[in-house]
Amino acid sequence: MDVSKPIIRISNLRKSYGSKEILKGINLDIYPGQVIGYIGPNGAGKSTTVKILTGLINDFEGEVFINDIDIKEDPLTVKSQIGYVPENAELYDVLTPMEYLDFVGKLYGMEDTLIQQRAQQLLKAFGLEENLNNRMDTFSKGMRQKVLLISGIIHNPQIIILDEPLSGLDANAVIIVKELISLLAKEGKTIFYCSHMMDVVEKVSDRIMLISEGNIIADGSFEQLKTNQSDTLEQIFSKLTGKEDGNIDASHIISAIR
Amino acid sequence: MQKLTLKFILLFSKLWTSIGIDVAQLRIIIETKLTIDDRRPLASFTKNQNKKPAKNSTWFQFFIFSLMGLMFLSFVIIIPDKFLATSLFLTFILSILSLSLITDFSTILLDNKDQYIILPRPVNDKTVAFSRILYMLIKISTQLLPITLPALIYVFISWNIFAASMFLVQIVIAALIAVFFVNIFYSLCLRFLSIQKFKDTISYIQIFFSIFIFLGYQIGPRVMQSFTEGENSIYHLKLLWISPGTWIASFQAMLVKDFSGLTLIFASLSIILLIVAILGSSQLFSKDFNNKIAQLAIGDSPVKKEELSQEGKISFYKKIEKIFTNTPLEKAGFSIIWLITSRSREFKMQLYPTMAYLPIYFIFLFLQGKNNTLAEQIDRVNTSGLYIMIFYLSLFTVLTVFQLITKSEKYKAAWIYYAAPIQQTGELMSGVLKSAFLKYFVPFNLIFLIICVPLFGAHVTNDILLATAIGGIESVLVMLFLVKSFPFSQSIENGKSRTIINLFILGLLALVGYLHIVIHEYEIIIWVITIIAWIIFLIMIKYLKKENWKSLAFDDN
Repeated sequence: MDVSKPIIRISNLRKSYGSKEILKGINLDIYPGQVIGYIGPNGAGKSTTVKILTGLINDFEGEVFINDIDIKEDPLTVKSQIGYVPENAELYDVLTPMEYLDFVGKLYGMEDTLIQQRAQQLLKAFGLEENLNNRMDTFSKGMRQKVLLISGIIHNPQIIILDEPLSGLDANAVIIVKELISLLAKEGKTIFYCSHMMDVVEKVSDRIMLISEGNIIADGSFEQLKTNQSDTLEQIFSKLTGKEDGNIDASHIISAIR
Repeated sequence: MQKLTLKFILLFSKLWTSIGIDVAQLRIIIETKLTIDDRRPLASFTKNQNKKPAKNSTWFQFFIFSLMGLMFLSFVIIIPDKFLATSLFLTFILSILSLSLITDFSTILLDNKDQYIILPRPVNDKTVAFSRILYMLIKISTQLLPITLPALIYVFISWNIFAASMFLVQIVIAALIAVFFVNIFYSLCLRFLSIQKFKDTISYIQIFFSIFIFLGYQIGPRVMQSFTEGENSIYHLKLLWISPGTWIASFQAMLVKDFSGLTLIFASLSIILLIVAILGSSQLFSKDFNNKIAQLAIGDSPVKKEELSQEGKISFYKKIEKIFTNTPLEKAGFSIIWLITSRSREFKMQLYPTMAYLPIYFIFLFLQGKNNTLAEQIDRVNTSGLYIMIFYLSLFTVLTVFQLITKSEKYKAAWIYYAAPIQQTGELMSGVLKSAFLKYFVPFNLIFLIICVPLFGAHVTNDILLATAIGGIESVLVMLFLVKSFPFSQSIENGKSRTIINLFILGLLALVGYLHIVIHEYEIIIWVITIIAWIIFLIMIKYLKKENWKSLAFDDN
């Protein structure tokens, strides 16, 4: 794979719902092997970007190329190269993990034996081997999230888009997922990581993008974004996006209920 | 209408407060629930939403219930004895209401959202329980009104004002008793049965309900006949004595100065019943009930550590899948339908009642002629070709299955269809079709084959084959024109009424069935048509695979 050529190329991306413009001209080049931390306040346009990248939304202005494929022209090829785990995703929980992964794998056109083999190995790696053939309606949220993560990588995609992938996971699983992300990146996979958990984003991503009101307002590594040495990502985030909400102050909340 | 009922009930605030209910909380809970009903959520992945489906279906429901009401009206018109007429009327109202409450309202009563929203707040159990009952009462009034309206109008015109007003009061009492007793029934069930058993019980009652209605249509006219022929009164019809409907009706007898011992007993029984109902249901609902409901949310819990498919051993559906499907996409459609339909309670609960008609109809086939021996009956059914009708009746199941498989409580899990690179939706859907067809239609025909060949002779084989092919063609057509969503991708609440289209399809099937009966003696013709029908069916499946549904596209809402 040519590492010098962007795997995701977004130019002048705009998207409106009615008269409300959500994305106001986004330009991005993402290279293979990068772990992108995509952060921003609620309603900034994060999930709209993700929906466009995953081929769910097709009516946007501007250009989105993934692996040199125009996503408007050929969304299916793009979809087959992407692994996507939506935020708070649901699954058909009357199925067992094996059955669910079999179903998902087949939607990606995989063959029976390959699915079986990968699903078993992945489930084992995530510590779910005891539950291979148990229905997921008895699973905890973390166990379901693991299955979802597996369903996002089982077809060995080039690009992995994760939306709050750690929700519901316990501390041990969080460590595994963090490791997994860096290993995947070493394999040359591109990770697009959306989250509100600043401390995790700070640690896992080698490039952080901050979107606010439909524009990318910061783009660079954590080191580059820091204006002084003691900053955390949380502080940077708040400095860059918090100014409109300057009147939000925790002490006002306390005085309101006193 | 609903708000009015609520206002009326809140008139008795003092009484409610005295039994420990917080009226302000009660009011806000019910008002909120009614508001939520007005704003039923639209499924997030659907396009082509009919803008006002709910309104139409409400009116259609009103129409159907009024028709039922007209049937009940006949009791009041035909039977001169007011006591007897009211008894029968109320008995039927009571049974219809109770059954409809048990079956249709189980979702309301067992709503586990209360668990997360209301129970963490300082609301006492009695208020929660009562709000549930009241909500059911308000909802049931939309059924009660059309059912009773025809009779009420008639009664107010032709009876004197006292009898008519009493009739109205009696209907209200009957409704109250139905609602309270169904609540008691629920809490008793929940107390003594495991969650799994309880779910099954509800399904059985639902099946019983449909059979009951079906039997009603068959037997009703004969019963009416016997009522009009002989001179009858409550004193002769001892079976009616045990019906609470009769007890409530006894007030009619008192109005005409009948103060016999029986009447007095009935009257006191009905008052006791009402008191027991109200007290019982406020006592029985306890923390227990809510805890149990919380467990319901967990769904069908499998046996612990149950290995659903052993390694090395290929499960049954996989074998069938291998024979009938080719591409991975088709296999995906096949397996998702096969697996989820076996395990989803909601699916089973809705499908099985519609299947219950079949055996009953089969028996009725042989009961229609009068006083014949069984051999004569079989011969009659055989020569007339009436047995063919049952093959076509089983096609109704196909229609139901295909409409149910798009719906699920877990409809949000359908995001995966939009994230995955699905080239040909038709391929996925042909897997869906094959699965549903093989699982829910072919077995019927096999059973028919096993029963009918010994009974009527080998000549029924082509009839069954033809009906199967027509069922197949029907499935493809339903798939192409009615099923416009991915499997299990629609909210259950997003109930678009397809009743008119369904009735049309049923009519069409009945017509085809009738034509089949007309030509059933010409065996060669049937064979030829059978072969043609199978060829058409197989070509249609090929065509279906190539179809790419635009309506399945992602809708960003």
